[in-house]
Amino acid sequence: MPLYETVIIGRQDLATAQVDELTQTVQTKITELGGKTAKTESWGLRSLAYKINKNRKGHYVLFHFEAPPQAVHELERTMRINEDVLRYLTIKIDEFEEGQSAILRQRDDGDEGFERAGGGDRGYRPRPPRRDNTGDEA
Amino acid sequence: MSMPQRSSGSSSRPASSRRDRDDETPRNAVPSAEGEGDQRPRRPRGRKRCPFSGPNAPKIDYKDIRTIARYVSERGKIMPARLSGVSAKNQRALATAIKRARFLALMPYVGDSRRTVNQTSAMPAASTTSSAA
Repeated sequence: MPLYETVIIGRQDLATAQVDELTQTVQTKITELGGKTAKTESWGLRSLAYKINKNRKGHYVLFHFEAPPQAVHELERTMRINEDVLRYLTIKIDEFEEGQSAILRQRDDGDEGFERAGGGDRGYRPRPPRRDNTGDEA
Repeated sequence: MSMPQRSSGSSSRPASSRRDRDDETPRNAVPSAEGEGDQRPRRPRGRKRCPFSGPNAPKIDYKDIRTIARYVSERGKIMPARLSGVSAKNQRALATAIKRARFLALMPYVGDSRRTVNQTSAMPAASTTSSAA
């Protein structure tokens, strides 16, 4: 069975218990469809870079699982129906990542990107590697 | 909805004999007499090494927004590989990673740089008025 990685974004006004519930339902759905969940990771309530359905923040949950390909189709169908899910992204991966994913590792460093930047989605300030030209875009 | 998977397997490239472009060679430090003399000295034309190739290069991952954000302009556009020196293969992987990060709202599609630009332009002006007063 191929390996998949799914990230879902839950609505901002979900309580933590509801997020856990949502996580549970996805997990049971995966097992129902003949898959196996290897890992789930909650990224907590993060600020979105832009508003999605009037939500400025969202609960991010990541799933690593192994499932038959048709299961992914069915899983995504149920997530489309579920109004608590703002967005989902499933990608096929070659191998599960060991340990925490980059998002959580970065949070441990103390830099939280958007959340600490202030001003929500406007505070973002990416740093290009270097500016050798005076013009912004070549 | 799932995007094609791309392995970020990177083939290490042989080290280029040129030095890094940050240290300027005097040959290029001399501004060209003809044409635009207002420009800063051109950087050496040596090929930049791909930052994602090599033994301990970072993996290209859409979740690793801190690494990926470096390859995006202030407006949120993906930087051309010509400027960043990323190899063609890795540039393709990087582009999908950036697009995934955007889709998940980890990164803006359109970076609002106007505010930051205003801040930076307002700062020197404010300092000059305060020093004059």
